[in-house]
Amino acid sequence: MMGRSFSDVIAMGGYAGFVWTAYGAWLVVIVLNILAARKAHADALKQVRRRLAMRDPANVEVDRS
Amino acid sequence: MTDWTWFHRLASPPYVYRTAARLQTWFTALAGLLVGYGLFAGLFVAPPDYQQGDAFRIIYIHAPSAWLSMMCYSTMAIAAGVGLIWRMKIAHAVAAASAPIGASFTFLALLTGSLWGRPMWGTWWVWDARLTSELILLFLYLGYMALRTSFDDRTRADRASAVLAIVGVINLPIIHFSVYWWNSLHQGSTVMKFDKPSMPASMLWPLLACLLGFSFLYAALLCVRLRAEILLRERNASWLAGVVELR
Amino acid sequence: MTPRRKRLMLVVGILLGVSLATLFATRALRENLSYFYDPTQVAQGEAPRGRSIRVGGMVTKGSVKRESGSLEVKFDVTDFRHTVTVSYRGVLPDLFREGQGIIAHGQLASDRVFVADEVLAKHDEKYMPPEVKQSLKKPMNEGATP
Repeated sequence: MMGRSFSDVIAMGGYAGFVWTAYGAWLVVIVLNILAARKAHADALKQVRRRLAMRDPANVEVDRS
Repeated sequence: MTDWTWFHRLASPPYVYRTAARLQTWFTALAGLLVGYGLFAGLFVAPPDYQQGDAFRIIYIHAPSAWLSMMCYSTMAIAAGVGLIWRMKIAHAVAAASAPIGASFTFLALLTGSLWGRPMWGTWWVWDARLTSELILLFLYLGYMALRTSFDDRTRADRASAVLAIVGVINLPIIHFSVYWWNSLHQGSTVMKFDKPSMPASMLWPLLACLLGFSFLYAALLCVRLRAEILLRERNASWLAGVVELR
Repeated sequence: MTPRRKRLMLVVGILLGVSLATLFATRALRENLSYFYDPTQVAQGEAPRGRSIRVGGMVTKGSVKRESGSLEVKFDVTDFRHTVTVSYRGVLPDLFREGQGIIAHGQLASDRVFVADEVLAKHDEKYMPPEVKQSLKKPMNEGATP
């Protein structure tokens, strides 16, 4: 019910181990998901940047000098 | 006459890349709000169940994870099918981007289910129709991803993995109806049925918020991964010069 | 081995792995399903003796008897036509109670006695707060499903 005390919430009616482990695992997987997706995008962006830099005539001239 | 320009625009990588970037912000905000409310209300406001007490609160992450494990697979298979039939590169990119997200939600569904089953049913795992078919779904995701990495050529990876994704669709109805077709330890659907939900509003609203919020979270993650896929596929295209400068 | 050949082997290996994992999982599932019997089947002698099977049904109200000072429990399981007595030594799941659906794993000792080594509790898809359950027990409520 509303107004459950803080210790009641932590104890989860004796199921604290199961409930909080489940929620903890959920949080870890979600955070990893977000980080992995962002890393995939950052890596792809880095690769594209490198390609573009190689094709850039300004850089080509610097390489030759 | 039917206007097909939307379909052609959907097949255009620059358009999809920019749209995904714009949508991503909205999806993230909606996911944050809905999941934030859903989990808070589910953990702290909703009443305990008359039989399961507070252990039933695992439903607020278990049911949405299970729902997403199937929704991601449907998206993946439909996209793969569209990619095969219309030779649409973007569709293959959507399928490839969906797989790791779907696999992680399938893993979560199995894990949280196990943590729920142990105190309530009395076992971490049982070779039951629902549990087994969900485990096979995880194998399908892992097989799909492994198959993709075993090809160097992206076009061939797309085609081969698309076939696996489409064949695996047969598992989806099996997962959903397993609890009705066989004598299963797992109970039937609370929300996903034609009847009205078997739950009072105080428990139902947080669950619906979580279901919708998780779906937006998937959409947001899909946007990020899809943009990465597009960048890799289009790395030689000239339109990228504009994008890379901007970001 | 050429790189092309190697890749082919890898692809075949992955597909084989997925199929094998699926095969083993479905086999475990089939085994689990085929060794399931309800009390009627047990009463009619369809269930084998001396082999591990599962028996499922509802725990009869008022049938649970606990031996004092031990974990030994005896209770009746019914499908509302026939009844089997289950004897079990161990910790019961939290959901175990009279009127609850259960699945017991073990062996038949005699016509009507099943010695279980595992008892699992089933629950349905309905959730409700304890207060609602209390008020449903009163007869004034009509049309509500208990």
